Amino acid sequence: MSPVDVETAFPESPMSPRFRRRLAILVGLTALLIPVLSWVEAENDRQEEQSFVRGSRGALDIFVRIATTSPREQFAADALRQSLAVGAEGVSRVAGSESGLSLTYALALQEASARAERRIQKAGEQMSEAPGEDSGLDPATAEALDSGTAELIGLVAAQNAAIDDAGRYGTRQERGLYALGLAAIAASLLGLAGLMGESRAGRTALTSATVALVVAVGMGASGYVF
Amino acid sequence: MSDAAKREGDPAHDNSTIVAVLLAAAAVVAAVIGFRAALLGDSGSDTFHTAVREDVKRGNSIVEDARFIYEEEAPNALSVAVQRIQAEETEREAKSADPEVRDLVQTEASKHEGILGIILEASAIASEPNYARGDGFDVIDRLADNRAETPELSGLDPDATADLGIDRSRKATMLVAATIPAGLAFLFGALAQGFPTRRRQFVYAGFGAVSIAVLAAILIEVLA
Repeated sequence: MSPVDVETAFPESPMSPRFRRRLAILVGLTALLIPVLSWVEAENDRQEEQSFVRGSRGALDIFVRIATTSPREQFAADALRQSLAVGAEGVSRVAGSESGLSLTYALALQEASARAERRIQKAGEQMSEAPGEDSGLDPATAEALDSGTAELIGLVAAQNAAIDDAGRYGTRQERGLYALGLAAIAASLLGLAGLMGESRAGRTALTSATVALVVAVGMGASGYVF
Repeated sequence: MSDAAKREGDPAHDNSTIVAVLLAAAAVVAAVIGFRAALLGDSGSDTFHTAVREDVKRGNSIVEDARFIYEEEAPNALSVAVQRIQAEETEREAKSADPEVRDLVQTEASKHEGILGIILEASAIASEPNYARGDGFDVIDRLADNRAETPELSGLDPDATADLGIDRSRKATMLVAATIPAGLAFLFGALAQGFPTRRRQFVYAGFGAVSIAVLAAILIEVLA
């Protein structure tokens, strides 16, 4: 039994130079298109993930700032209420006293209460003030404690923008992936065209591959347009 | 004439080995760069997720520490301050009060002092002289000390972790872009087969494209 030469075992598919050139160009373009689409897919996937992470962390940041600032603000309000209650107690005592000894007593206590009210108010303000630059707190806690409404509005806008960005990049990534699939189908069709040669089936495969490639390019680019 | 002999005479089959080598080289380069890009991309993605996890841990610890200090410890300390101030002001008033009511006012001051004595020890802030500040207490200082008790949480830096993830992911996509010249080499290889008369130029261009892909990958790996 004589050895079989794989190069010559099967007769080469008949094709004209024109068909061969067309096939070669399409194969080459497909080979170039695949890494380009891979890059489009990978880049947009990266941007989408980055935007999602930014959005998630933004939402967390907003929650942390609100949840951290609220107890401090609540404490400040409670301290103010407590100081007012001390002052009001002195005034009430005077209002509820009749003349004579009880009024003298109430007036003395009211004097003390009025001074105490001012000092308690000051102490409450001092205890609930936002951290200064040399507070000794870690930067994240200091920043969270010192958040204001204006700052939160900016953060909410940035967080929403990040989620919108994620949607945009996600669309591009999905279309890039779809285009990549079409390019793979085109590559298979080109392989078939090469095997079948310039027969009717071969030409059909070549034409289908061309259409698939054009659609793939359009699909990949559409994410940047629409 | 045999098929082999026909091929030898056919310019389309001359030097086809070099085209095969070009295509194989392009495939190997693309595969190696793609593998490295996939590893880096995966690492970048993991790092992103780590940043989110760190942010959640750190955020929770900040919220809990702030809640504990401002909703539990600071109100107790304020109560101490309120009683102390009231005791001092009533005591002061007693000294200048009408003698008829002085004892009564003094009794009121003693009442505040009595309450103060009871609640002082129960307050972690007020019972610690280091936190005393004016009529009140340094709550921020107490919060800083409380945060310092969990350095593994307060020391987390999710921003730095996220930046690392961004760097790795960017590098990964740059490496994917470096496979485009390898795709170009495939294009030249295919054209070398389709246009035999210009095969030599296409093959040279193809190897040039492979070299560019390798060079780009090395530069990205080293510099990016």
